Amino acid sequence: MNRHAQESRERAHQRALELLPWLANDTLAAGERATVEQHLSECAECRAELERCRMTRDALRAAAPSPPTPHPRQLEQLLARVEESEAASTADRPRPAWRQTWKATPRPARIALFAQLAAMLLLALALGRVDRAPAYRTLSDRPAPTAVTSGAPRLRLVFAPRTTEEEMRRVLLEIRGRLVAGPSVLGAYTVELGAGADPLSVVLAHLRAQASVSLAEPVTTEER
Amino acid sequence: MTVDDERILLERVAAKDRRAFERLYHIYYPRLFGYILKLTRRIDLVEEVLNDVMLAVWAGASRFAGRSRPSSWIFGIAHHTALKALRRRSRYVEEPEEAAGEPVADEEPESLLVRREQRDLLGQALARLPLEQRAVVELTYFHGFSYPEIADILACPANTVKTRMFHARRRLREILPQLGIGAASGGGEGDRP
Repeated sequence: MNRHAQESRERAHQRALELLPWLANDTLAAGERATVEQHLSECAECRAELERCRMTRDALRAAAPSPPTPHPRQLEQLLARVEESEAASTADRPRPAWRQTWKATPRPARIALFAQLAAMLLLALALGRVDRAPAYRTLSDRPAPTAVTSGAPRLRLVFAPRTTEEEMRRVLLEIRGRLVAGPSVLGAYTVELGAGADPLSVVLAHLRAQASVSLAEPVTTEER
Repeated sequence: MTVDDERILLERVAAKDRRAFERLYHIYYPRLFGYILKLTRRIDLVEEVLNDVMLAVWAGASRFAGRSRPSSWIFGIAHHTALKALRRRSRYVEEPEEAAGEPVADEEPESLLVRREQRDLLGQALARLPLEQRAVVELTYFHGFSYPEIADILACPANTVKTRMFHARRRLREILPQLGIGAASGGGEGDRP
């Protein structure tokens, strides 16, 4: 046998040896698989090594502790963070487009638009559906936020699935709260406590005891 | 759940479908939990990293190109996020001895005694591997990824994956006889590296 043939054999052996774990987990592409299997048919060492790979794989799988299930609390925390990130990105994203459109609009048209928006807002207020009017959020959030917020305690509220509207209303009346925003994409409402409401901590404890409430947490001032 | 099902789920997540996201979370929780724990060996980091990963999935689902399987995309995020968390805690040092007791002990032993012993042996052997080698072993044998996928997940060349696996195999080989592996395999060819 010439040296060249021996070298190419050795290369084929090394190549196959490297790929054995993925033959064992059945993920080799067809071409590679065929090459490795061809080599296996003539190499006892690789066959033994493949067996070791398979047994390691089996031992590793058998030794795994049973998979944990997530604690509901953790999912709630995640959903709250998702909701925060959504709020942040909706506050960021439309703004440039909105501003560009605004800048590109001739002055008289701006005034007319503004008047129209104001009228819509008044109408929405009159109908008591402020929380669902998207214009309200944009307008109230846009100028220096601290100046606008009333300072009344706020909290974030997620109702349990299939909670009826009456139930939501009952809960809100009980805590003397009113909706100021929501539902967010994740179904969270922002609630502001009115005058005469209990302290926030008491309200939160009360809410968390309700079957119809799946999440109640304070909204910090810097979030506003 | 097939790969296509997962793709559809990811598309819905990209469209900000909250239910699809919860579904994805429940599907991936056990797998990510196991991987992050094995990788970091820090139970205190797992939940935090896991939530960071899922948050990144939520935010980035629309950027998922569909070029790879959803699972390798998500595991890539998990790997990257876990490493970042370890670095942030600036405790990214290999501590072989400390890993002796695997931190998940939530399981009742009873008839699982043998399994448990094996788990400890294998767990210790794995824990002694450098992190990148451990990652390759886990992703191959436990999570069933191909080596090009693992290269994607770890953001390294495919040849590096093979090399890491090769070194890991050599080191794991020493403990295989204690697990009852090796003797039966006719692997008596001496100490070929």
